[in-house]
Amino acid sequence: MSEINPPLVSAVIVSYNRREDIRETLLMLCRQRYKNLEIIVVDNASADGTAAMINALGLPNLTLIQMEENVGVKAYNMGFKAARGQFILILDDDSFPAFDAVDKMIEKFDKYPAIGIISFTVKDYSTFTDTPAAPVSSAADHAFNDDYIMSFHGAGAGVRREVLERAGGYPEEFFLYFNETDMALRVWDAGFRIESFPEIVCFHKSSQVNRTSERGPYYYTRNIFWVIWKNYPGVAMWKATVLMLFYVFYYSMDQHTFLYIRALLDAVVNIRKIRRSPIKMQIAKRFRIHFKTPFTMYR
Amino acid sequence: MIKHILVIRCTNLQHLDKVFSKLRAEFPGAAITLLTHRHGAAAAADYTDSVVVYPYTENYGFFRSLKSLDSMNFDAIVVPVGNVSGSGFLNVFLFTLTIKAGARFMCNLPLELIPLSRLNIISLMLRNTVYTAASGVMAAAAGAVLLIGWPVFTLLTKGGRGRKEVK
Repeated sequence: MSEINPPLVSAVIVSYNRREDIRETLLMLCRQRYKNLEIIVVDNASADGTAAMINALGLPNLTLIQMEENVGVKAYNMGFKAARGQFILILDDDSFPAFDAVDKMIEKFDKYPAIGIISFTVKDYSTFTDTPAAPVSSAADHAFNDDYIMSFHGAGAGVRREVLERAGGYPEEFFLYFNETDMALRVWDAGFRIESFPEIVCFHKSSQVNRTSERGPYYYTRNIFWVIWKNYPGVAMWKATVLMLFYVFYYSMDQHTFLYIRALLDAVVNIRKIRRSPIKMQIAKRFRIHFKTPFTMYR
Repeated sequence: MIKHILVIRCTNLQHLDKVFSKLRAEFPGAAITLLTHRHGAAAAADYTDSVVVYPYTENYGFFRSLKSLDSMNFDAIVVPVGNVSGSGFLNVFLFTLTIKAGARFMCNLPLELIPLSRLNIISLMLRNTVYTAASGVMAAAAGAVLLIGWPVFTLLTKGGRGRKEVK
């Protein structure tokens, strides 16, 4: 990392009715050891005074963008556009990086030019300890795993600006959930890598505010179908579709719910919202998607 | 007396943090071995010195057992599950039958340790067989409908919003 001119990092956070959580996130960012940091908060029309609280904090390096309605992950794209940094730090409004995480992230981006996204190791908030950050250590060479490749965690990820320019941002039609996987497929397809390092940590509260039991599995199910239909080439698309159909019917019976069938119908009825743009077969074959995820988060 | 526990990682690290806290409080002094897929191995070292890597890229399964666990004897196996009922984790429960253990538990989202007997697991498997047959038929029928309608879908998806460029 260049010590003379450290690159600007833009933390982009979307907030929605979690005033106290995002207050802590912002205060924790201020304690980040890496100082060349701007913060962009896009507020999705919170009704709990989040915007007023952020303004009252008066942080000099913070830009607040206020949406007129809740637009879901489109708000992240607004934040990416406003970001001036060479690197973007994606956070949730209830997550924050360890005090040394951005330093270490920049070090890894410098060392490994092929990496487009660094997925932070997301730990539970209960494991956070308010101790001074240890010095950055020069870790041994990272072992890249090419057998299978993966997505990243939207509660903590570092992104090169170039990645957003070449692969695009989040799919706005998804509204919520599984948007990272859609973006990850395009990132790998564009020739970048997504890697994770155990020492680059962020803490996530998984706040129970705004987390209803049905919303997650519903959007996850619909959006997995859209990820498949948008991105998967030929035979791989059909194989994945049939597998997902099987899971939809199986878990509808197993959990006595029509939730998954409603999500499937939503995916079909609103299919015009997506545009098919298949990725390379070798990326689809190696990419590890846990198709059962939506069915393991409900009941 | 539970002295050696095998935890099979199949939920996210946040849940694993809570599961480990629960187990250390519930069984103080017990040694914990963590079984994880390769992508989770580096992070697993933060939890315990005893990490076993599952060599398959696929999910845990009864027919993808692990030779390296044959010589080990656990007092308990714990399967963390990301919901309340354990639905969706039958493949992991079946996988536990390939490992020698005194007891089996799932640890659900509210961190309840729920015993899993061999009989429980086998009865779940029998129910699974019925659901699998019915779901297979329904998935084939729905897949055929989608296949027939795909030319229309293809036309529709050309007009969608698609990828969002950020410049």
